[in-house]
Amino acid sequence: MNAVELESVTHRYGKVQALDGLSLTVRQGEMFGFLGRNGAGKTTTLKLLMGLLRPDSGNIAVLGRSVKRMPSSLKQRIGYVCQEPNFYPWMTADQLGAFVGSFYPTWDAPEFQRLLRMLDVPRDRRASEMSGGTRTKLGLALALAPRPALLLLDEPTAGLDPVARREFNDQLQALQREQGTTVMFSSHLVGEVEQLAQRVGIVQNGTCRFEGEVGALRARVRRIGADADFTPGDGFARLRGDIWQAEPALWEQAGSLPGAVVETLSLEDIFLAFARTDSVLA
Amino acid sequence: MRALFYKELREHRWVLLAMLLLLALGQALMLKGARMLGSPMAAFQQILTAMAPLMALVLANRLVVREYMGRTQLFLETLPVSRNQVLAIKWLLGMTLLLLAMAACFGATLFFARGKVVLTPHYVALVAIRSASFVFLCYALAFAVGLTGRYRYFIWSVLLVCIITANSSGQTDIANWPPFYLVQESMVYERINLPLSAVLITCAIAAALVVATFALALSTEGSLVVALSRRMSPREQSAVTISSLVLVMAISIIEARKPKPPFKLAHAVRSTSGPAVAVGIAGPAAQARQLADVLSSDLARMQAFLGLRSVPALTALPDDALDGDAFQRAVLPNADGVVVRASFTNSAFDREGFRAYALASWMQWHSRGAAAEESRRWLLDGAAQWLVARDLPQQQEKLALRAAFAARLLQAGPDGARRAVHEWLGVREELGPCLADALAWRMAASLAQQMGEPRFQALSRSLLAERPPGDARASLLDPGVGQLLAQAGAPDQAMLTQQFDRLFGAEQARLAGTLGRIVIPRTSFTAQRMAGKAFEVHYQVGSSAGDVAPFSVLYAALGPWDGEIPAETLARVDSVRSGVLPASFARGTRLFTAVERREALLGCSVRLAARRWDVQ
Repeated sequence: MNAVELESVTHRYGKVQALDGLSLTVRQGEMFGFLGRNGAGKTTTLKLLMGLLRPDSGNIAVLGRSVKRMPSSLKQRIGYVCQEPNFYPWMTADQLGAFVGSFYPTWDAPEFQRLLRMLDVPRDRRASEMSGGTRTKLGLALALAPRPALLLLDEPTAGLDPVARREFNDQLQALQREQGTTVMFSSHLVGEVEQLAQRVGIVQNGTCRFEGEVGALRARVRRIGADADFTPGDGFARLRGDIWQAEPALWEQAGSLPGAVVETLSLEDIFLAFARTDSVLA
Repeated sequence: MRALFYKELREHRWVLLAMLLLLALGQALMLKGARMLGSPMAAFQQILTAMAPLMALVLANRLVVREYMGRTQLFLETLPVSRNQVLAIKWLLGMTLLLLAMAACFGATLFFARGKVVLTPHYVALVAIRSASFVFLCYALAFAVGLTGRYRYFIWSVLLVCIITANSSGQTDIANWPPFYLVQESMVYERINLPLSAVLITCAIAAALVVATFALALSTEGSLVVALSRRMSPREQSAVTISSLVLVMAISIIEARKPKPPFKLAHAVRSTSGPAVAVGIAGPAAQARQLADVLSSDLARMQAFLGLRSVPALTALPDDALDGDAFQRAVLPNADGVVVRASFTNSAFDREGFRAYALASWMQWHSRGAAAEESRRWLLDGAAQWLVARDLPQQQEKLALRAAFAARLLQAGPDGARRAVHEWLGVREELGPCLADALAWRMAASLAQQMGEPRFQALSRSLLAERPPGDARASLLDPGVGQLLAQAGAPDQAMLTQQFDRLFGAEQARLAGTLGRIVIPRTSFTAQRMAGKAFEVHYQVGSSAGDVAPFSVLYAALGPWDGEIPAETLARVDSVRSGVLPASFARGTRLFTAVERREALLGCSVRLAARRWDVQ
């Protein structure tokens, strides 16, 4: 059973088509990076998975159950951290823990305290007195304490400085390894996704351009430096400029052509190529 | 669910506590003053009317507006609790708190009222049902409007303007609208019948609001309410401000232009020529016709003097309950025109005084009340008398004597002439209408003589004959008395004060012989505490030993913002000896008291010892 399955999902905000036939799968126990530019549809997708929005069409299943009518029992198995958590400003971390914990039968209070210590979140400080980074870490502790089967993170590091971001990511990796939770996180920071994710999905204009392992993606997209009149044969498709996609076995053939130099690309280069084209990697 | 419930209580506990303290304080004060209200249940009715809407507003603001404006509902929505559950808990919590608070008030009232009011189960149930329906509507409305976020003030303003407009249009009394009808005075005194239709309509409106609330909050996954809760952009703020102003202006202009049918009197004789005047028949028809013709002639002269194109119909109604020198103007919510009342058949009927009163009333109508503003009212009163008396030397002599006596009374206190120019309404209240009109005539006639008739005419036209728009523009377009005096070449107000001071002195000296024959009896009012906490007011006129000439005691309990006291609101006791007012008053009650006695030499009623004071 997959943790998340989206099939031809569409969603529209008034005149804006946020998702346009998005299909995606997140496997159990993996850390899935959801990559896309601002406005690509990442947050909308995560809100649909949380049941905060309803799709106009298409099917969504989370942990094997449809989310057309999100039951509380399913929501109790999902942890969610949004970009800017809006906690009650007058509540301390402990009070928030007590409040949120009462909604989850699986709430692990000692685990919550351990997470607070581990993430270096002060227990008795009000949310209004915490920095953005601390609030995000508090959000992570609140999301992990009920030991969810699926953790959804919506650009959790967007407001953090580089040091805090690195710390957050390290701790997230450690927790994921420790608890074996399925994690789906969105980001527009390619390096972060490359560091954390085992598989990625690249979304552009509400459509998934690629879904798979980072290694597979890098094996299938390369730059071919060649003379202007160079034309690869069958099996090659141009993504943008001199960046092509093809089956990994074909790159050797391309490299043997006269005047052609095949270069591997970073995930960032590949992401930029996708961001400026409508091509979909088959 | 329980966590959410406790969260709300914890978050808003201090505000709730403050509201409950305020409610308890209000309840205690109202019950303390229940004797003045007539019944402890009346105290509950007043506290319910004032506090239920206020508490509903505060609760809705805390429970809804604060949640959405602070965007903390986004956090709530990520928890395993559905949006409609959150909304339902908030709604029920607020409603329960409000009902409990009001029920506590009601319980305290019943406890206090036991032994004083007959409390049958049926009566208690009637009051409870009426109160609960009203509370239900208040909270449902406050909650629904709270969800409109940044537009809530605009919506409240529109609601308020609509209610005020509907009330002032005269077509409908909002006290009889079902929700308001439930908590009007009948709630206290109705012991048999439940106003079922009012209860049902109120509950139906409230239920519709609840449905609308949930529809609004749950539509488009709650994104509509989230969008509404965002702060207004500067452009939006400007648009809302401008549209609010346009709405108010439009309503006031439409109201002002809405034609009202002219007042019609069936049994009346009408003037044979000139402006239309109808006089109700109280005695011989010929006498009424003569009065109609005289009034019509006065109106025609005033029309020419003030340069007016047309004048509305004037109706004079007979009212034998009035004294001969007492006149009243009717308020016409649903008709147009000027209607004045007097006792035409009274042997002491002051015909010339009534003619001047009719002219002044007409000028008030024409100027939409602007001519009756305190700064120009002396000229209104004086010009009306001057127009009537200008060709009547005998009337002028009578007015001169009255004016001299009025000046004597006025100058017995400090700042006599200055008060006449700047505080005319106070002077008028102290002197009474007869003496005040004579003093105003003296001032106007003196000004006319000094300026010459053409310039005085120009001044009268600018001060009294301008008809301002009947809407909000009126206050913007009013140039002020000082500017109008200067434009007409009249002395400024400081100069007028000096001139009138000299004039009053000279007139008193000229008529000193006659004035010396008028005796002013010593008059006083004192409050004395009764057995309970109420006070009675004693009046003493002349010496305590002997009787004096017949006199009337006038009195009225005043509110904190009461301005000019209409003659018809003054209670009156006719007497020939000192005594006690037939009413009791609470400590701190603001009272107006005066004594009026007929002075044969002056031919009118003289008001003595008029003042406003606090009972203690």
